[in-house]
Amino acid sequence: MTMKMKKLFFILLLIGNILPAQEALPPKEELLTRKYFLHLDQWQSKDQPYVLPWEQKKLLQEDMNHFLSDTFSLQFPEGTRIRYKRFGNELMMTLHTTQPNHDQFLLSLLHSEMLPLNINLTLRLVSFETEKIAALKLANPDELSDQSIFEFWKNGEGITLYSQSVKTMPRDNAIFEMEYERIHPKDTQTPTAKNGNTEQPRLTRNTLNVTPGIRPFSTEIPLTVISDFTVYTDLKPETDPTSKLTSPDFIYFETGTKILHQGTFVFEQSTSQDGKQKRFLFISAEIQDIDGNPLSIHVPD
Amino acid sequence: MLSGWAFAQAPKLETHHYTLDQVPALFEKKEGSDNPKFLEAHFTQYMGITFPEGSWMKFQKAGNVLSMQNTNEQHAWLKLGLAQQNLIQSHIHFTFRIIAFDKIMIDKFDRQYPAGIPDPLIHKLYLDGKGETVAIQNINMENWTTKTFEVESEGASEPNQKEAQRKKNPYSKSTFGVTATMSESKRSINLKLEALFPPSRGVPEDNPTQAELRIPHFSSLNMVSRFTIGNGKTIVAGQSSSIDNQSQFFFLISADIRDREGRAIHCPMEKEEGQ
Repeated sequence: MTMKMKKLFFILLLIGNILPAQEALPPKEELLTRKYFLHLDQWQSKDQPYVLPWEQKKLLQEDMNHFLSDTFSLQFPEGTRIRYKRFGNELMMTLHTTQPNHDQFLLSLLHSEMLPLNINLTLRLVSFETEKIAALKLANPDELSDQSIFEFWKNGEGITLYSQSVKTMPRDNAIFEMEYERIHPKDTQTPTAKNGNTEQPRLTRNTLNVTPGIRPFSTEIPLTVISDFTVYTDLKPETDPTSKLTSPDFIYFETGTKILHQGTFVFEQSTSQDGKQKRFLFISAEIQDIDGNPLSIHVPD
Repeated sequence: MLSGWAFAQAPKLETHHYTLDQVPALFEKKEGSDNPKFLEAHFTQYMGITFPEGSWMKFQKAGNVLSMQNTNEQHAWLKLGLAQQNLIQSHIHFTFRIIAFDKIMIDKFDRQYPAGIPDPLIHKLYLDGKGETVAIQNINMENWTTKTFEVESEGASEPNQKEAQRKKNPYSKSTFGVTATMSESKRSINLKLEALFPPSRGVPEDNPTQAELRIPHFSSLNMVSRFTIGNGKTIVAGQSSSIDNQSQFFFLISADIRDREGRAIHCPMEKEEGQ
Protein backbone atom coordinates (compact mmCIF):
# COMPACT_ATOMS: atom_id res chain seq x y z
CA MET A 1 0.00 0.00 0.00
CA THR A 2 1.46 3.31 -1.10
CA MET A 3 1.59 6.33 1.21
CA LYS A 4 -1.26 7.99 -0.75
CA MET A 5 -3.47 4.91 -0.42
CA LYS A 6 -2.72 4.71 3.29
CA LYS A 7 -3.80 8.35 3.68
CA LEU A 8 -7.01 7.71 1.73
CA PHE A 9 -7.76 4.59 3.77
CA PHE A 10 -7.22 6.59 6.98
CA ILE A 11 -9.56 9.36 5.81
CA LEU A 12 -12.27 6.86 4.84
CA LEU A 13 -11.91 5.19 8.23
CA LEU A 14 -12.25 8.53 9.94
CA ILE A 15 -15.34 9.48 7.93
CA GLY A 16 -16.85 6.07 8.64
CA ASN A 17 -16.47 6.72 12.34
CA ILE A 18 -17.68 10.31 12.26
CA LEU A 19 -20.85 9.80 10.21
CA PRO A 20 -22.54 7.38 12.58
CA ALA A 21 -21.62 9.69 15.43
CA GLN A 22 -23.35 12.60 13.62
CA GLU A 23 -26.47 10.50 13.03
CA ALA A 24 -26.65 9.80 16.74
CA LEU A 25 -26.90 13.52 17.54
CA PRO A 26 -30.46 14.72 18.19
CA PRO A 27 -31.82 16.91 15.38
CA LYS A 28 -31.44 20.62 16.04
CA GLU A 29 -34.68 22.30 17.00
CA GLU A 30 -36.08 24.34 14.14
CA LEU A 31 -35.99 28.10 14.66
CA LEU A 32 -38.97 30.14 13.51
CA THR A 33 -39.33 33.89 12.94
CA ARG A 34 -42.39 35.75 14.19
CA LYS A 35 -43.27 39.38 14.82
CA TYR A 36 -44.69 40.74 18.05
CA PHE A 37 -45.83 44.22 19.00
CA LEU A 38 -45.42 45.57 22.51
CA HIS A 39 -47.38 48.59 23.60
CA LEU A 40 -44.82 50.57 25.60
CA ASP A 41 -47.36 52.59 27.63
CA GLN A 42 -47.93 49.42 29.65
CA TRP A 43 -44.79 50.10 31.66
CA GLN A 44 -43.73 53.12 33.70
CA SER A 45 -40.13 53.74 34.71
CA LYS A 46 -41.13 54.63 38.25
CA ASP A 47 -42.50 51.11 38.74
CA GLN A 48 -39.26 49.49 37.60
CA PRO A 49 -35.95 48.99 39.42
CA TYR A 50 -34.13 50.26 36.31
CA VAL A 51 -34.58 52.74 33.48
CA LEU A 52 -36.72 51.17 30.78
CA PRO A 53 -34.57 50.35 27.73
CA TRP A 54 -36.60 52.47 25.30
CA GLU A 55 -36.42 55.50 27.57
CA GLN A 56 -32.67 55.60 27.25
CA LYS A 57 -31.10 57.64 24.49
CA LYS A 58 -30.24 54.54 22.52
CA LEU A 59 -32.17 51.28 22.62
CA LEU A 60 -29.56 48.64 23.48
CA GLN A 61 -30.10 45.01 22.53
CA GLU A 62 -28.81 43.58 25.80
CA ASP A 63 -30.99 45.92 27.91
CA MET A 64 -34.04 44.87 25.93
CA ASN A 65 -33.16 41.17 26.23
CA HIS A 66 -32.82 41.62 29.98
CA PHE A 67 -36.20 43.38 30.14
CA LEU A 68 -37.94 40.58 28.19
CA SER A 69 -36.32 37.90 30.29
CA ASP A 70 -37.36 39.71 33.46
CA THR A 71 -40.93 40.53 32.35
CA PHE A 72 -41.94 37.55 30.23
CA SER A 73 -39.42 34.88 31.33
CA LEU A 74 -38.22 34.82 27.73
CA GLN A 75 -35.30 32.45 27.26
CA PHE A 76 -32.51 32.70 24.73
CA PRO A 77 -31.65 29.22 23.48
CA GLU A 78 -28.75 28.88 21.05
CA GLY A 79 -29.44 30.60 17.74
CA THR A 80 -32.08 32.99 19.12
CA ARG A 81 -32.00 36.40 17.46
CA ILE A 82 -34.18 39.43 18.15
CA ARG A 83 -34.52 42.67 16.18
CA TYR A 84 -36.30 45.66 17.62
CA LYS A 85 -37.90 48.63 15.92
CA ARG A 86 -39.56 51.35 17.89
CA PHE A 87 -42.29 53.44 16.31
CA GLY A 88 -44.39 55.75 18.42
CA ASN A 89 -45.53 53.99 21.55
CA GLU A 90 -44.97 50.58 20.10
CA LEU A 91 -42.05 48.26 19.76
CA MET A 92 -41.98 45.81 16.89
CA MET A 93 -40.03 42.76 17.87
CA THR A 94 -38.87 40.21 15.30
CA LEU A 95 -38.09 37.06 17.27
CA HIS A 96 -36.18 34.17 15.71
CA THR A 97 -36.29 31.28 18.17
CA THR A 98 -37.61 27.78 18.90
CA GLN A 99 -41.29 26.85 18.81
CA PRO A 100 -41.49 26.19 22.60
CA ASN A 101 -39.93 29.59 23.26
CA HIS A 102 -42.49 31.26 20.96
CA ASP A 103 -45.27 29.34 22.75
CA GLN A 104 -44.01 30.42 26.15
CA PHE A 105 -43.79 34.05 25.02
CA LEU A 106 -47.30 33.96 23.48
CA LEU A 107 -48.72 32.48 26.69
CA SER A 108 -47.08 35.27 28.71
CA LEU A 109 -48.55 37.90 26.37
CA LEU A 110 -51.94 36.19 26.61
CA HIS A 111 -51.73 36.16 30.40
CA SER A 112 -50.72 39.85 30.46
CA GLU A 113 -53.63 40.64 28.12
CA MET A 114 -51.19 42.28 25.74
CA LEU A 115 -52.28 40.28 22.74
CA PRO A 116 -55.29 41.63 20.83
CA LEU A 117 -57.48 38.66 20.02
CA ASN A 118 -61.00 37.50 19.38
CA ILE A 119 -62.91 34.42 20.39
CA ASN A 120 -64.93 32.71 17.72
CA LEU A 121 -68.06 30.97 18.95
CA THR A 122 -69.78 28.45 16.70
CA LEU A 123 -73.16 26.84 17.32
CA ARG A 124 -74.32 23.88 15.27
CA LEU A 125 -77.62 22.06 15.43
CA VAL A 126 -77.07 18.56 14.09
CA SER A 127 -79.65 15.85 13.56
CA PHE A 128 -78.81 12.12 13.61
CA GLU A 129 -81.03 9.14 13.04
CA THR A 130 -82.01 7.76 16.45
CA GLU A 131 -80.99 4.25 15.35
CA LYS A 132 -77.46 5.42 14.52
CA ILE A 133 -77.05 7.06 17.90
CA ALA A 134 -78.30 3.86 19.55
CA ALA A 135 -75.68 1.89 17.59
CA LEU A 136 -73.00 4.39 18.63
CA LYS A 137 -74.04 3.93 22.26
CA LEU A 138 -73.68 0.17 21.90
CA ALA A 139 -70.17 0.66 20.54
CA ASN A 140 -69.33 2.89 23.52
CA PRO A 141 -70.93 1.01 26.42
CA ASP A 142 -69.10 2.95 29.16
CA GLU A 143 -69.93 6.48 28.13
CA LEU A 144 -71.06 8.19 24.96
CA SER A 145 -69.00 11.36 25.30
CA ASP A 146 -69.64 14.69 23.61
CA GLN A 147 -66.40 14.14 21.72
CA SER A 148 -67.59 10.76 20.35
CA ILE A 149 -70.77 12.33 19.00
CA PHE A 150 -68.84 15.24 17.56
CA GLU A 151 -66.32 12.88 15.91
CA PHE A 152 -69.31 10.98 14.48
CA TRP A 153 -70.48 14.23 12.84
CA LYS A 154 -66.95 15.16 11.68
CA ASN A 155 -66.76 11.80 9.89
CA GLY A 156 -69.74 12.74 7.75
CA GLU A 157 -72.66 11.41 9.77
CA GLY A 158 -75.75 13.47 10.60
CA ILE A 159 -77.23 16.52 8.94
CA THR A 160 -76.30 20.05 9.99
CA LEU A 161 -79.70 21.68 10.33
CA TYR A 162 -78.39 25.13 11.16
CA SER A 163 -75.12 26.65 12.18
CA GLN A 164 -74.08 30.05 13.35
CA SER A 165 -70.87 31.72 14.44
CA VAL A 166 -70.10 35.04 16.07
CA LYS A 167 -66.86 36.67 17.14
CA THR A 168 -66.44 38.40 20.43
CA MET A 169 -63.70 39.37 22.86
CA PRO A 170 -62.79 37.83 26.20
CA ARG A 171 -65.21 38.93 28.92
CA ASP A 172 -67.53 40.53 26.33
CA ASN A 173 -70.82 38.85 25.80
CA ALA A 174 -72.18 37.91 22.42
CA ILE A 175 -75.92 37.69 22.06
CA PHE A 176 -77.42 35.37 19.51
CA GLU A 177 -80.96 35.25 18.41
CA MET A 178 -81.34 31.57 18.82
CA GLU A 179 -84.78 30.33 18.09
CA TYR A 180 -87.40 31.26 15.62
CA GLU A 181 -90.40 29.09 15.57
CA ARG A 182 -93.79 29.28 14.07
CA ILE A 183 -96.31 27.60 16.29
CA HIS A 184 -99.84 26.43 15.95
CA PRO A 185 -102.07 28.82 17.81
CA LYS A 186 -104.61 26.07 18.26
CA ASP A 187 -102.42 25.31 21.25
CA THR A 188 -103.15 28.76 22.59
CA GLN A 189 -106.35 30.32 23.84
CA THR A 190 -106.75 33.27 21.48
CA PRO A 191 -110.25 34.73 21.37
CA THR A 192 -109.03 37.50 19.03
CA ALA A 193 -108.15 35.13 16.19
CA LYS A 194 -109.12 36.35 12.71
CA ASN A 195 -112.35 35.17 11.14
CA GLY A 196 -112.89 32.65 13.86
CA ASN A 197 -109.82 30.77 12.62
CA THR A 198 -108.02 29.51 15.69
CA GLU A 199 -104.95 28.54 13.73
CA GLN A 200 -103.38 31.92 13.53
CA PRO A 201 -99.60 31.58 13.46
CA ARG A 202 -97.40 32.93 16.21
CA LEU A 203 -93.69 33.45 16.46
CA THR A 204 -91.52 32.73 19.42
CA ARG A 205 -87.96 33.81 19.89
CA ASN A 206 -85.23 33.06 22.35
CA THR A 207 -81.85 34.68 22.76
CA LEU A 208 -78.63 33.17 23.96
CA ASN A 209 -76.08 35.25 25.82
CA VAL A 210 -72.56 33.81 25.69
CA THR A 211 -69.58 35.32 27.53
CA PRO A 212 -66.18 33.74 26.96
CA GLY A 213 -63.20 34.22 29.24
CA ILE A 214 -59.51 33.36 29.23
CA ARG A 215 -57.64 31.43 31.91
CA PRO A 216 -54.15 32.51 33.03
CA PHE A 217 -51.29 30.70 31.26
CA SER A 218 -53.77 28.49 29.49
CA THR A 219 -55.65 28.33 26.22
CA GLU A 220 -58.86 27.13 27.87
CA ILE A 221 -61.96 29.24 27.34
CA PRO A 222 -64.52 29.21 30.11
CA LEU A 223 -67.92 29.94 28.58
CA THR A 224 -70.81 31.35 30.52
CA VAL A 225 -73.99 30.61 28.60
CA ILE A 226 -77.29 32.10 29.64
CA SER A 227 -80.60 31.77 27.91
CA ASP A 228 -81.76 35.31 28.41
CA PHE A 229 -85.36 35.95 27.54
CA THR A 230 -88.22 35.09 25.30
CA VAL A 231 -90.17 37.30 22.95
CA TYR A 232 -93.56 36.25 21.72
CA THR A 233 -94.20 38.28 18.62
CA ASP A 234 -97.87 39.12 18.00
CA LEU A 235 -98.76 37.43 21.25
CA LYS A 236 -98.50 39.32 24.49
CA PRO A 237 -99.40 37.02 27.32
CA GLU A 238 -98.15 39.51 29.86
CA THR A 239 -100.56 42.25 28.71
CA ASP A 240 -103.41 40.20 27.36
CA PRO A 241 -104.59 37.79 30.05
CA THR A 242 -106.98 36.15 27.61
CA SER A 243 -104.03 35.09 25.45
CA LYS A 244 -102.07 32.38 27.06
CA LEU A 245 -99.32 30.37 25.45
CA THR A 246 -99.71 26.78 26.49
CA SER A 247 -97.50 24.91 24.06
CA PRO A 248 -94.90 24.61 22.72
CA ASP A 249 -92.46 26.25 25.06
CA PHE A 250 -88.72 26.27 24.68
CA ILE A 251 -87.30 23.16 23.24
CA TYR A 252 -83.68 23.65 24.10
CA PHE A 253 -82.88 26.01 26.88
CA GLU A 254 -83.66 26.75 30.42
CA THR A 255 -82.35 29.97 31.85
CA GLY A 256 -79.14 29.23 33.66
CA THR A 257 -75.40 29.33 33.50
CA LYS A 258 -73.00 26.68 32.40
CA ILE A 259 -69.24 26.84 32.37
CA LEU A 260 -67.59 25.14 29.45
CA HIS A 261 -64.02 24.98 28.21
CA GLN A 262 -62.22 25.30 24.91
CA GLY A 263 -63.18 22.71 22.33
CA THR A 264 -66.60 21.46 21.35
CA PHE A 265 -69.38 20.42 23.67
CA VAL A 266 -72.92 19.19 23.40
CA PHE A 267 -74.93 21.94 24.99
CA GLU A 268 -78.33 20.32 24.71
CA GLN A 269 -79.96 17.39 23.01
CA SER A 270 -83.52 16.55 22.17
CA THR A 271 -85.59 14.10 20.20
CA SER A 272 -87.82 15.02 17.29
CA GLN A 273 -91.58 14.74 17.73
CA ASP A 274 -91.76 11.49 15.75
CA GLY A 275 -88.82 10.04 17.72
CA LYS A 276 -86.83 9.24 14.59
CA GLN A 277 -84.20 11.98 14.99
CA LYS A 278 -81.86 12.96 17.80
CA ARG A 279 -80.83 16.58 17.70
CA PHE A 280 -77.64 17.85 19.28
CA LEU A 281 -76.60 21.45 19.76
CA PHE A 282 -72.81 21.75 19.67
CA ILE A 283 -70.95 24.80 20.92
CA SER A 284 -67.32 25.36 19.84
CA ALA A 285 -64.97 28.09 20.98
CA GLU A 286 -61.61 29.08 19.52
CA ILE A 287 -59.08 31.82 20.26
CA GLN A 288 -58.19 33.70 17.07
CA ASP A 289 -55.79 36.49 16.20
CA ILE A 290 -57.25 39.72 14.84
CA ASP A 291 -56.86 38.47 11.27
CA GLY A 292 -59.16 35.52 11.96
CA ASN A 293 -56.47 32.83 12.18
CA PRO A 294 -56.57 30.31 15.02
CA LEU A 295 -54.04 31.19 17.70
CA SER A 296 -51.97 28.06 17.79
CA ILE A 297 -50.14 27.66 21.10
CA HIS A 298 -48.80 24.42 22.44
CA VAL A 299 -49.17 24.60 26.20
CA PRO A 300 -46.19 22.91 27.88
CA ASP A 301 -47.05 20.19 30.43
CA MET B 1 -29.10 40.56 -18.19
CA LEU B 2 -29.32 41.32 -14.50
CA SER B 3 -26.11 42.05 -12.74
CA GLY B 4 -25.02 42.80 -9.20
CA TRP B 5 -25.10 46.47 -10.15
CA ALA B 6 -28.87 46.30 -10.66
CA PHE B 7 -29.40 45.13 -7.06
CA ALA B 8 -27.06 47.74 -5.63
CA GLN B 9 -29.04 50.72 -6.94
CA ALA B 10 -29.89 53.42 -4.41
CA PRO B 11 -33.48 53.21 -3.15
CA LYS B 12 -35.94 55.50 -4.89
CA LEU B 13 -36.67 58.59 -2.83
CA GLU B 14 -39.93 60.51 -2.91
CA THR B 15 -40.96 63.81 -1.35
CA HIS B 16 -44.27 63.93 0.50
CA HIS B 17 -45.81 66.74 2.53
CA TYR B 18 -47.87 66.17 5.68
CA THR B 19 -50.15 68.91 6.96
CA LEU B 20 -50.21 68.53 10.73
CA ASP B 21 -53.39 69.24 12.66
CA GLN B 22 -51.42 70.62 15.57
CA VAL B 23 -47.86 71.72 16.21
CA PRO B 24 -46.11 69.18 18.43
CA ALA B 25 -44.69 70.67 21.63
CA LEU B 26 -41.30 69.49 20.49
CA PHE B 27 -41.31 71.95 17.60
CA GLU B 28 -41.75 74.85 19.99
CA LYS B 29 -38.40 74.09 21.59
CA LYS B 30 -35.46 76.31 20.90
CA GLU B 31 -33.53 73.74 18.92
CA GLY B 32 -36.73 72.32 17.40
CA SER B 33 -38.31 72.61 14.04
CA ASP B 34 -35.77 74.86 12.33
CA ASN B 35 -33.03 72.33 12.74
CA PRO B 36 -33.32 69.45 10.24
CA LYS B 37 -30.73 67.35 12.10
CA PHE B 38 -32.72 67.69 15.31
CA LEU B 39 -35.89 66.65 13.48
CA GLU B 40 -34.20 63.61 11.96
CA ALA B 41 -32.76 62.53 15.31
CA HIS B 42 -36.14 62.92 16.98
CA PHE B 43 -38.06 60.97 14.34
CA THR B 44 -35.41 58.25 14.36
CA GLN B 45 -35.59 57.82 18.12
CA TYR B 46 -39.35 58.00 18.54
CA MET B 47 -40.77 56.76 15.25
CA GLY B 48 -38.00 54.51 14.01
CA ILE B 49 -37.57 56.51 10.78
CA THR B 50 -34.24 55.95 9.08
CA PHE B 51 -32.64 58.47 6.73
CA PRO B 52 -30.62 56.91 3.89
CA GLU B 53 -28.27 59.05 1.84
CA GLY B 54 -30.11 61.78 -0.05
CA SER B 55 -33.09 61.88 2.30
CA TRP B 56 -34.12 64.88 4.37
CA MET B 57 -36.86 66.30 6.56
CA LYS B 58 -38.03 69.83 7.31
CA PHE B 59 -40.93 71.61 8.94
CA GLN B 60 -42.59 74.80 7.71
CA LYS B 61 -44.35 76.69 10.47
CA ALA B 62 -46.54 78.44 7.91
CA GLY B 63 -49.28 75.92 7.34
CA ASN B 64 -47.79 73.33 9.75
CA VAL B 65 -46.31 71.31 6.91
CA LEU B 66 -43.85 68.54 7.62
CA SER B 67 -41.97 67.50 4.48
CA MET B 68 -39.79 64.48 3.99
CA GLN B 69 -37.80 63.04 1.11
CA ASN B 70 -37.34 59.35 1.74
CA THR B 71 -38.25 55.84 0.57
CA ASN B 72 -41.86 54.68 0.34
CA GLU B 73 -41.34 52.40 3.33
CA GLN B 74 -40.09 55.24 5.53
CA HIS B 75 -43.03 57.42 4.40
CA ALA B 76 -45.39 54.62 5.50
CA TRP B 77 -43.69 54.47 8.91
CA LEU B 78 -43.90 58.26 9.26
CA LYS B 79 -47.58 58.34 8.32
CA LEU B 80 -48.35 55.59 10.83
CA GLY B 81 -46.36 57.40 13.54
CA LEU B 82 -48.09 60.73 12.86
CA ALA B 83 -51.50 59.02 12.93
CA GLN B 84 -50.64 57.28 16.22
CA GLN B 85 -49.94 60.67 17.77
CA ASN B 86 -53.08 62.13 16.19
CA LEU B 87 -50.99 64.71 14.34
CA ILE B 88 -52.74 63.87 11.08
CA GLN B 89 -56.42 63.09 10.59
CA SER B 90 -57.46 59.52 10.06
CA HIS B 91 -60.72 57.67 9.63
CA ILE B 92 -61.86 54.10 9.15
CA HIS B 93 -63.12 52.77 5.85
CA PHE B 94 -65.40 49.75 6.21
CA THR B 95 -66.80 47.36 3.69
CA PHE B 96 -69.62 45.16 4.95
CA ARG B 97 -70.53 42.19 2.80
CA ILE B 98 -73.07 39.42 3.19
CA ILE B 99 -72.02 36.49 1.04
CA ALA B 100 -74.11 33.39 0.42
CA PHE B 101 -72.26 30.11 -0.16
CA ASP B 102 -73.70 26.79 -1.15
CA LYS B 103 -74.52 24.85 2.03
CA ILE B 104 -73.16 21.52 0.74
CA MET B 105 -69.75 23.05 -0.03
CA ILE B 106 -69.61 24.81 3.35
CA ASP B 107 -70.72 21.66 5.18
CA LYS B 108 -67.67 19.80 3.84
CA PHE B 109 -65.31 22.51 5.08
CA ASP B 110 -67.22 22.81 8.34
CA ARG B 111 -66.56 19.18 9.23
CA GLN B 112 -62.84 19.66 8.49
CA TYR B 113 -62.55 22.64 10.84
CA PRO B 114 -64.53 21.78 13.98
CA ALA B 115 -63.71 25.05 15.73
CA GLY B 116 -64.97 27.00 12.72
CA ILE B 117 -63.78 27.53 9.14
CA PRO B 118 -60.80 29.95 9.25
CA ASP B 119 -61.63 33.46 8.09
CA PRO B 120 -58.84 33.58 5.46
CA LEU B 121 -60.30 30.46 3.81
CA ILE B 122 -63.79 32.01 3.62
CA HIS B 123 -62.27 35.21 2.23
CA LYS B 124 -60.37 33.21 -0.39
CA LEU B 125 -63.52 31.33 -1.42
CA TYR B 126 -65.22 34.69 -1.87
CA LEU B 127 -62.31 36.13 -3.90
CA ASP B 128 -62.33 32.97 -6.04
CA GLY B 129 -65.95 33.68 -6.93
CA LYS B 130 -67.42 30.73 -5.03
CA GLY B 131 -70.03 32.81 -3.22
CA GLU B 132 -72.83 35.15 -4.18
CA THR B 133 -72.82 38.71 -2.86
CA VAL B 134 -76.21 39.27 -1.25
CA ALA B 135 -75.46 42.74 0.09
CA ILE B 136 -72.52 45.14 0.16
CA GLN B 137 -72.03 48.51 1.79
CA ASN B 138 -69.01 50.82 2.03
CA ILE B 139 -68.80 53.46 4.68
CA ASN B 140 -66.29 55.88 6.21
CA MET B 141 -66.47 56.34 9.96
CA GLU B 142 -64.69 58.72 12.27
CA ASN B 143 -63.09 57.37 15.41
CA TRP B 144 -65.51 56.76 18.30
CA THR B 145 -68.64 57.20 16.20
CA THR B 146 -71.71 55.04 15.83
CA LYS B 147 -73.64 54.40 12.63
CA THR B 148 -76.95 52.70 12.28
CA PHE B 149 -77.58 50.02 9.69
CA GLU B 150 -80.82 48.50 8.60
CA VAL B 151 -80.86 45.00 7.25
CA GLU B 152 -83.96 43.89 5.44
CA SER B 153 -84.55 40.36 4.41
CA GLU B 154 -87.18 39.07 2.05
CA GLY B 155 -87.46 36.15 -0.32
CA ALA B 156 -84.93 37.89 -2.54
CA SER B 157 -82.20 37.34 0.00
CA GLU B 158 -82.68 33.63 -0.27
CA PRO B 159 -81.03 33.10 -3.65
CA ASN B 160 -81.57 29.37 -3.80
CA GLN B 161 -85.27 29.42 -3.25
CA LYS B 162 -87.87 29.00 -5.89
CA GLU B 163 -90.33 31.78 -6.55
CA ALA B 164 -93.23 29.84 -5.03
CA GLN B 165 -91.32 29.38 -1.79
CA ARG B 166 -90.24 32.99 -1.62
CA LYS B 167 -93.79 34.16 -1.06
CA LYS B 168 -94.02 32.06 2.06
CA ASN B 169 -90.87 33.55 3.53
CA PRO B 170 -91.45 35.99 6.30
CA TYR B 171 -90.24 39.51 5.77
CA SER B 172 -87.73 40.58 8.36
CA LYS B 173 -86.01 43.81 9.20
CA SER B 174 -83.42 44.43 11.86
CA THR B 175 -81.52 47.52 12.88
CA PHE B 176 -78.13 47.45 14.45
CA GLY B 177 -75.57 50.02 15.49
CA VAL B 178 -71.86 49.81 14.73
CA THR B 179 -69.43 51.70 16.94
CA ALA B 180 -65.85 51.87 15.69
CA THR B 181 -62.70 52.79 17.57
CA MET B 182 -59.12 52.70 16.37
CA SER B 183 -56.52 51.23 18.69
CA GLU B 184 -53.80 53.66 19.80
CA SER B 185 -51.33 51.76 17.64
CA LYS B 186 -53.56 52.30 14.58
CA ARG B 187 -52.90 48.70 13.68
CA SER B 188 -56.35 47.44 14.61
CA ILE B 189 -59.95 48.58 14.93
CA ASN B 190 -62.41 47.65 17.66
CA LEU B 191 -65.97 47.16 16.54
CA LYS B 192 -69.07 46.95 18.65
CA LEU B 193 -72.22 45.59 17.07
CA GLU B 194 -75.45 46.17 18.87
CA ALA B 195 -79.00 45.32 17.94
CA LEU B 196 -80.87 48.62 18.38
CA PHE B 197 -84.39 47.36 17.86
CA PRO B 198 -85.62 43.82 17.98
CA PRO B 199 -86.17 42.50 14.47
CA SER B 200 -89.70 42.75 13.18
CA ARG B 201 -91.00 39.87 11.19
CA GLY B 202 -94.14 39.31 9.29
CA VAL B 203 -95.90 36.03 8.70
CA PRO B 204 -97.09 34.66 5.39
CA GLU B 205 -100.45 36.27 4.70
CA ASP B 206 -101.46 34.07 1.82
CA ASN B 207 -102.17 31.03 3.92
CA PRO B 208 -101.53 31.39 7.60
CA THR B 209 -103.11 28.04 8.42
CA GLN B 210 -100.15 26.34 6.74
CA ALA B 211 -97.89 27.65 9.44
CA GLU B 212 -96.23 24.77 11.14
CA LEU B 213 -93.76 24.11 13.89
CA ARG B 214 -90.27 24.61 12.54
CA ILE B 215 -86.91 23.75 13.89
CA PRO B 216 -85.08 26.67 15.46
CA HIS B 217 -83.55 29.15 13.10
CA PHE B 218 -80.46 31.16 13.98
CA SER B 219 -79.89 34.67 12.81
CA SER B 220 -76.43 36.19 13.11
CA LEU B 221 -77.46 39.60 11.81
CA ASN B 222 -79.21 40.26 15.08
CA MET B 223 -76.09 39.55 17.04
CA VAL B 224 -74.55 41.72 19.70
CA SER B 225 -70.80 41.42 20.04
CA ARG B 226 -67.49 43.24 20.22
CA PHE B 227 -64.34 42.24 18.39
CA THR B 228 -61.12 43.51 16.85
CA ILE B 229 -60.07 43.63 13.19
CA GLY B 230 -56.51 44.07 12.01
CA ASN B 231 -55.98 47.25 9.96
CA GLY B 232 -56.25 46.32 6.28
CA LYS B 233 -57.77 42.91 6.97
CA THR B 234 -61.04 41.11 6.32
CA ILE B 235 -62.68 38.93 8.93
CA VAL B 236 -65.87 36.94 9.27
CA ALA B 237 -67.92 38.67 11.96
CA GLY B 238 -70.57 35.98 11.93
CA GLN B 239 -72.41 33.45 9.83
CA SER B 240 -75.75 31.73 9.83
CA SER B 241 -77.83 29.35 7.79
CA SER B 242 -80.58 30.47 5.45
CA ILE B 243 -84.15 29.63 6.37
CA ASP B 244 -84.31 26.87 3.77
CA ASN B 245 -80.86 25.60 4.87
CA GLN B 246 -79.65 25.62 1.26
CA SER B 247 -77.18 28.48 1.78
CA GLN B 248 -74.86 29.70 4.47
CA PHE B 249 -74.61 33.48 4.90
CA PHE B 250 -71.28 34.94 5.97
CA PHE B 251 -70.96 38.47 7.29
CA LEU B 252 -67.55 39.73 6.10
CA ILE B 253 -66.11 43.00 7.38
CA SER B 254 -63.06 44.66 5.82
CA ALA B 255 -61.46 47.61 7.59
CA ASP B 256 -58.75 50.10 6.61
CA ILE B 257 -57.48 53.11 8.48
CA ARG B 258 -57.03 55.92 5.93
CA ASP B 259 -55.72 59.46 5.86
CA ARG B 260 -57.84 62.45 4.84
CA GLU B 261 -56.98 61.85 1.16
CA GLY B 262 -58.32 58.30 1.47
CA ARG B 263 -54.92 56.60 1.29
CA ALA B 264 -54.29 53.62 3.56
CA ILE B 265 -52.26 54.06 6.73
CA HIS B 266 -50.62 50.74 7.36
CA CYS B 267 -47.72 49.07 9.10
CA PRO B 268 -45.30 48.65 6.18
CA MET B 269 -43.46 45.59 7.42
CA GLU B 270 -46.71 43.66 7.64
CA LYS B 271 -47.65 44.58 4.08
CA GLU B 272 -44.25 43.63 2.71
CA GLU B 273 -44.47 40.14 4.12
CA GLY B 274 -47.96 39.68 2.80
CA GLN B 275 -49.38 38.82 6.21
